Amino acid sequence: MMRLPILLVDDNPDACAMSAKLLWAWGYQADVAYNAATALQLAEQKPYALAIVDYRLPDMDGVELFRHMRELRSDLAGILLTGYSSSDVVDPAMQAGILRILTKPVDFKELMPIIQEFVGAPT
Amino acid sequence: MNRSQRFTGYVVAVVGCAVVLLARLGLNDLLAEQARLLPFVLPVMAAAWWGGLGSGLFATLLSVLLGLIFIIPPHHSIWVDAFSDGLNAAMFVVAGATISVLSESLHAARLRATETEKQFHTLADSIPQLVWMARPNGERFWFNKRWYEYTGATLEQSQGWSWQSLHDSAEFPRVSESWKRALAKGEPWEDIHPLRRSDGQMRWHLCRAVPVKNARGETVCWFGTNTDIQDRIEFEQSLKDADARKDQFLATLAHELRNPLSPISNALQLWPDVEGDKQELDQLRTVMERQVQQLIRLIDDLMDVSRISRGKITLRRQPVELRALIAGAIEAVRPMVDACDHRLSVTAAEEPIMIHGDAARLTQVFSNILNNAAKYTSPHGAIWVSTEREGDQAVIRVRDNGRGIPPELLHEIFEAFRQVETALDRSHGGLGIGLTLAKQLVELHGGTIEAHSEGPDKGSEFVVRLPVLRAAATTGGAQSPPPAKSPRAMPRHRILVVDDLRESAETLAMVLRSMGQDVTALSDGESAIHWILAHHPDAVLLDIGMPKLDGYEVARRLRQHPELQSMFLVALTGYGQQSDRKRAFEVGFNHHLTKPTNIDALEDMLGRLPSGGQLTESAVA
Repeated sequence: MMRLPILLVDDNPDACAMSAKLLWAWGYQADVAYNAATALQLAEQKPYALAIVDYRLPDMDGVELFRHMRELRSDLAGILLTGYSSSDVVDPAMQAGILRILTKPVDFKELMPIIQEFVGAPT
Repeated sequence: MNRSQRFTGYVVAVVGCAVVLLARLGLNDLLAEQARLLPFVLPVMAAAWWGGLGSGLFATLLSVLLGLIFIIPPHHSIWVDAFSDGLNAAMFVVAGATISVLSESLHAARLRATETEKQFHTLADSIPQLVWMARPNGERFWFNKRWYEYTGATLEQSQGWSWQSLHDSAEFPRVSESWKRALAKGEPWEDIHPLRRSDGQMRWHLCRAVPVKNARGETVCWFGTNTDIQDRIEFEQSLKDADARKDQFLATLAHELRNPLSPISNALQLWPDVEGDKQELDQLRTVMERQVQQLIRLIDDLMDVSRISRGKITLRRQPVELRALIAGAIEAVRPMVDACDHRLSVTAAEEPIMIHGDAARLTQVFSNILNNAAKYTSPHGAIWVSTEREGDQAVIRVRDNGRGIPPELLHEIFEAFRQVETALDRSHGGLGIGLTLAKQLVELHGGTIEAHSEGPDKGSEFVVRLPVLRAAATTGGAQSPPPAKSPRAMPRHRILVVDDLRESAETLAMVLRSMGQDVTALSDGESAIHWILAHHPDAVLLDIGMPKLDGYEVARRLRQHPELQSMFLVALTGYGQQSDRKRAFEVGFNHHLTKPTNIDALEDMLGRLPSGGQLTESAVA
């Protein structure tokens, strides 16, 4: 069965590229967006299973972006990446339905079980 | 009690006793034996009141004497017929002395009270607080000078309850309610409320009042003060703001420092999967290098701000050409400009403009400004850089068509840790110290920096003005560094400059041409090799960090040609990449230059060129 792809959103192109490579290396499909506008366009075109979103984006914060993406796809799962978790990030993120908030840099070995849970085993 | 008061007392004693004597003699038929000495109590009291103890006792003795001589029989003698008259006279002396002592102390007490009252008024007028007194029912009846100065009101406009007109109408009902509650309970009152100043400004005051009670515990009056705490409130607020900015900055710092760690960490996790694939490994290494550089830049910025604010920075000043600085800065921000797909255009002054400055620091200034322009301009935007000379000043303008700066923030953007503070802008990255650094460094160079913006979405413009190094200074002015050799004195060589950043190559070529050299500029390694094989230049300046064929590879390939073994090869590397230097010599470079290059370094390089190049020979011929 074809797994639904993952959407990576981070304004650091290197961060996107490296994460995407890791996901590809482990057999997942991943698309990248460097800003919220592109992420929303992609989310409109493709059914993503999971969005991994950086909190600080040039045009919107990650939580707000996820809220908008949820309006497009109510079953979308979300992981928020942040450099600094404080209650003013965590509370709105939880309310928006984000499942995990991870502090950068993220160990992908830790991330894998979460991805498997929401996207399924890699193809 | 002074002398004139004492004298008055004696006069009162004499006159009083005389008047009473005459009156008593006049009434002798009527009074007969009654009240022979009693009326003399009046002059004794009067004399003691006016003149104190001395004149009181004097009046007593005078009264007794006059009584004995004129009123008490036998007349015209100080002797008495009856024992009772003698006793009366003695009792009068005791009573007179007592009255005198009491009057004296009463008088002194009254003087002390007057003195205390005067001291109180002086004190009340000298303190910075507004002081007032109120009756037990809350009506105010006295105010100190400061009250009148502050409010500009008169006693009529302040007394009773009139002072309410000086209050904020919205606040007054609450203030009045709490004041009345304190009056009813007779307990000290404290409240914070605004009070109108004479210029109309409402300023916050801390108001305290205490009841003054008598021995029976009844409130006699209220004593109140108002302390202006507006400045303190504003100061506290500014501290809170600064604290919030610091917290925000720490959050940003944490984020910005962690941000480059993500790709580094991911690249390391990918490493085992791509081992053996050179291209993939190179890409991982490039990513890691780039992100490590970003981390270093962040930490350097942070340290620089700290160093500058403690005055611990030393500029390494030497004559530098403005275009070289701009080219260096453009090179530094090129990845960001390209990533955002901005169009960057440069309009440079035709004449080279020399500045006496620290090349690395000035490059940092312009790259910070350019970085800012790229950051706050939406993708596919435009950035214009222009340099020109206006009199003794070099003027550098960096303009963009980005988000602009709100007018109220224009004067604040050079403050440390200040980013345009909206939820959106926090996501723009950076520590918010780039412009602070730029300003501090420009000022250290004796220049100025200004920001202009028509407002949101109207773009912004940063104008840097730096003093131009005058021609006299370059040839040995008092303040100038070691006198520069005249460029014309250099033998003419054929030189090739290769840099993938065309502006950078062209700028360096221009500087070398201004030093009398024959220079060609190219922007890729492949065409450089072809050109070199065809033209055999005396020297080649090769940028190390070029895509496709990097400088090391070009050098290696050139050295494979036997006829190019002795050609002078110069490696160009970015600021601070010292490790590249060693590698450059290993692959066959003869010399190394750090970008942005300065005139001295170029002259030094030209001096190392083997003399007898083709052009020199042809020039001799």
